[in-house]
Amino acid sequence: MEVVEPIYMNKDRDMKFVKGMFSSIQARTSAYCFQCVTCTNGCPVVLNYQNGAMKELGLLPHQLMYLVRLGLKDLALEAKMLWACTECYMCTEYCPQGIQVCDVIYELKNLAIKERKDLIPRGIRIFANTLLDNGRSAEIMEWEREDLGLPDLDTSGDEVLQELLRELGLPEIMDRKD
Amino acid sequence: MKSYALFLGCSIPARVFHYEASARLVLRELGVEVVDVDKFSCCGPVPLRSISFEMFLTVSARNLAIAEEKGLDIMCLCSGCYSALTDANHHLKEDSGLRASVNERLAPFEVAYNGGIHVKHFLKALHQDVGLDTIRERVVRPFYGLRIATHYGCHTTRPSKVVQLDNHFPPVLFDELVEATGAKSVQWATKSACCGGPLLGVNAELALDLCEKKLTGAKAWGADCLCTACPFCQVQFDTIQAKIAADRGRKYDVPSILYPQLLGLAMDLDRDLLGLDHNRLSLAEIEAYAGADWQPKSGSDSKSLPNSQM
Repeated sequence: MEVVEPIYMNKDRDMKFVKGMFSSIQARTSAYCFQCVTCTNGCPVVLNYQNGAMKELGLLPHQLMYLVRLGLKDLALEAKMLWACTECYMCTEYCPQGIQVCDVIYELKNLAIKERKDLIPRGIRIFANTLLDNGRSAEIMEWEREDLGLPDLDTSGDEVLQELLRELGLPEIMDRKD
Repeated sequence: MKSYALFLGCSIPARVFHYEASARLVLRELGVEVVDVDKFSCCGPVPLRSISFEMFLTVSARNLAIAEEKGLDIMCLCSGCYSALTDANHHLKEDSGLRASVNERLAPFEVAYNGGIHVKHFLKALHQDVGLDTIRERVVRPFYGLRIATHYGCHTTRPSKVVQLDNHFPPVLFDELVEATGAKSVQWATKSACCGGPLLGVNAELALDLCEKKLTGAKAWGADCLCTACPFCQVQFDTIQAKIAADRGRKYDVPSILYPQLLGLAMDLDRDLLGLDHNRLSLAEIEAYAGADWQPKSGSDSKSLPNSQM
């Protein structure tokens, strides 16, 4: 039988992570969580898996909020819930403590992208590469637009976006070798 | 009437050009001027924000700054663009320190955002600027008897404190717009749930699951079709509904119509220019309702209950 080391609160908590989360623009409201589970009850993704939700998602939204306070960073960043979140804001809308639950999840994803490259989903890599290569996330259907009498689309912003994203360090953060 | 900078984003010109075509046509007919502004880019959508808050904010701010320079508020057709730009606008208006640091990053691109514009969804422009009375006056082929499951789209409505689509929550604005065409906007249990669209690129099976839940809900509550005002939701209910029928062997037969297509048909605008044939699932049965003689049927069939607004 595989021996699993239990979490040891005296050693495994990352208080720098807690402080970072509680002072970040996106995740500072997580400090208000009192574990009422409204976020999880309203989550369409949790509802979809029903009894299998823990298995499919690793952690549920209210548990993610709790892990932030506990400072169990690795557990939070590894939760499949992060990348299954549709960012539908149902949790955020109904949180009685005004926690921006979706934004907390965004902040956790941002951290995972920075520090745990092994966890970046393929779809996110494809998206980043598409923006860097083409300056937009999907190709324009010129002939279809012409068919419907639509005006020519100005695409001069695409190149500017590519340059801006390079300036902001998107290639580096995605480990892209150009 | 007020003019807007039309913000198209990436998804509409790539996949849902019939949304753009029908929206432009309806707006022109109703006297709302939209301006095509050069140099807009991708809005800074969910996947970019998943990578970095700073990148999302800076990309959105650049777009806001371009419209501000022209002295125009932005009109979005896409809920994703609407959400990104509204949320960024909210942060940048509230926090001058944040705005200064974003502007510093934008300085080499010779733009700066001063927090001076609003971002409005297409639906709200119709409701607020044109108004329900004017829309009802222009409806010459009403959809009496048609039962519609109105789908707002998550990013159009939530978080309500940030996006402020409507004075009501849950919102009623889209239901009112749908009923202005003579159709009935039905109540349905999964109305405010997510279509699954944002997950298509990351977790396709889950995206299909969520889509099926919506279709099941719409069907259970006796809707003839869905009505959307977002390219992602429309792709889910149209293209992905067809994929669900093919891959999972489950057919729901509740096609989805974009709101400006519905309104355009009710206003007797050219169906080809409204791009009806660009929908994946046939809208023939829905089109047949426009201007048809309709009498409430007697009996207990809930589908023939008269529209409460009539």
